[in-house]
Amino acid sequence: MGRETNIHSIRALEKQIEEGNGDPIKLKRTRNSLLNISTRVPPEILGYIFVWSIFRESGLALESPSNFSRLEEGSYNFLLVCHHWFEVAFRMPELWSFWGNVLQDWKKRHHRSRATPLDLVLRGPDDSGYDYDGFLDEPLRDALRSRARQDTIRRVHLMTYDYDLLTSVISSLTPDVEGGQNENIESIILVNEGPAAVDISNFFSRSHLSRLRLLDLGGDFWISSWDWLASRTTLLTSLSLDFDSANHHPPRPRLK
Amino acid sequence: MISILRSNPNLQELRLSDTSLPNDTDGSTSKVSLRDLKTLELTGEIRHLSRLLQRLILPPTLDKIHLTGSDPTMEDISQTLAPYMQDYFRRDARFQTPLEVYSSSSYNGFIAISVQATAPVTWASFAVNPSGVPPPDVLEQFFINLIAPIPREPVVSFTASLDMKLPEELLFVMPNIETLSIRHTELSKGFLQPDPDGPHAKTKLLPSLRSLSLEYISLGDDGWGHLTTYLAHQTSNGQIISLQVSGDVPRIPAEVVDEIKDLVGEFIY
Repeated sequence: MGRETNIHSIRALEKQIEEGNGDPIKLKRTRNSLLNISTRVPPEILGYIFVWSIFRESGLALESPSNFSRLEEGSYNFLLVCHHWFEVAFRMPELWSFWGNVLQDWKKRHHRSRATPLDLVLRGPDDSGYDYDGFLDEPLRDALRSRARQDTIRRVHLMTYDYDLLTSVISSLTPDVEGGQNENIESIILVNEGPAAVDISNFFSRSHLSRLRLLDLGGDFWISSWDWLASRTTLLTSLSLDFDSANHHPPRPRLK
Repeated sequence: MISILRSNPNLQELRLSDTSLPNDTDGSTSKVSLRDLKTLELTGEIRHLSRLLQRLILPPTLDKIHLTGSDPTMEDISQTLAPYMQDYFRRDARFQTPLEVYSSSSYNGFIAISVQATAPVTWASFAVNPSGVPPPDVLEQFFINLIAPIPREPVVSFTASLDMKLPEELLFVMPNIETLSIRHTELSKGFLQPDPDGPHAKTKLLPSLRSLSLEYISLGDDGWGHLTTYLAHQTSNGQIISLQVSGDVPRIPAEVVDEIKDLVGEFIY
């Protein structure tokens, strides 16, 4: 449809709406679809624009593995614009790979796509308690267990002061037995800002982690053995271990 | 830890601190090759750090190296850390291009030196963190030993934020400094001038100086007189320098401002 024809059609529809000539809802929907240039943009391109709008404009560059930024308020409002946009977004897995970086956002988004590789990011609460947003409830715990079982987690980036929250998230991701789970995790960043050591022994000893490229542990953690790291990882490109030397309960073994 | 590094030869970034540094209780000296490494940051007891460095086979150049050794002795610095850094600087041609050096020390003995090559950009930082508070003469010697491995001729910019007097030797060995920034110091007798009884008594320090910046300075017995004396001496042969005084400093009397303006090309206060 040429630009002139389009403008004429839009004007004609507006005149009909003004005169009350026909179903106003249908008329407005037709007019809006003509105004919406995105119907002429290939869905793949439109989908990438959505991904860009969420992850770039919010400062959430996907290639930046240490990113703990949160989703902007109303990031997903574009889903409400029209049915076409909703359909395009629904078929764009990258849009559903991130639940947000606070527990409230996790609770809202964890059920949306279960097969998409997940970037599990948690930032906070910090020691002020200001951004405290609750605990890991049972549905969320189940969602994390299910993700771990299905090996659909790509990144685990957790930074918090909340010992209980950090412990329960790691526990939910920990396989019941040593085996092939968590094979698709590419990067792990765990920062414990709290005063007590978090035990990560089982998570690391039972996870496969053969695709792990980045490992960054900071703060106070307890791990019974590091043997897994040498025996299971071969692809690491970034290794950062910065432990808080103030707390050693139970005592942390020195690396050999 | 060595076995972890050996399993992952494609590491590009390695950051280890304190208890994650291997303590080598097995006495092994086998080496590990990390040919793709671009960033190396090690912080911890200087003896553990040194032993790990000896076991790593690194590429000739890195984008960034940062070493912080705690509990050092003078020998640790002069016989281990400084030679390692000297060798590192020698291998990387970027450190023969114009360099900016940043140095700082604090009351508890922590001394840090950062060297930046600007074109192309690369960083090398090294620091020591003594366990107690060493006496001032020991601290000064630590500082001199840490500065020693830096290529001297290429240094064009030097920033000092030191809890000690800037060693005269340093200014003598870096004759191409064009920009000097000094923070947290006291203007005292002989400010930026050689000791009249010392080995460089007849030498003009900082012959290439173009810009002097003073921040958060305090005044000694002769107020601003030590600064004007220095400026008069430095500019006596027609050398034009600019002066910037900023931060929390005592008020400069109007007549001193006029005197300084007569001595320097530009005065920002």
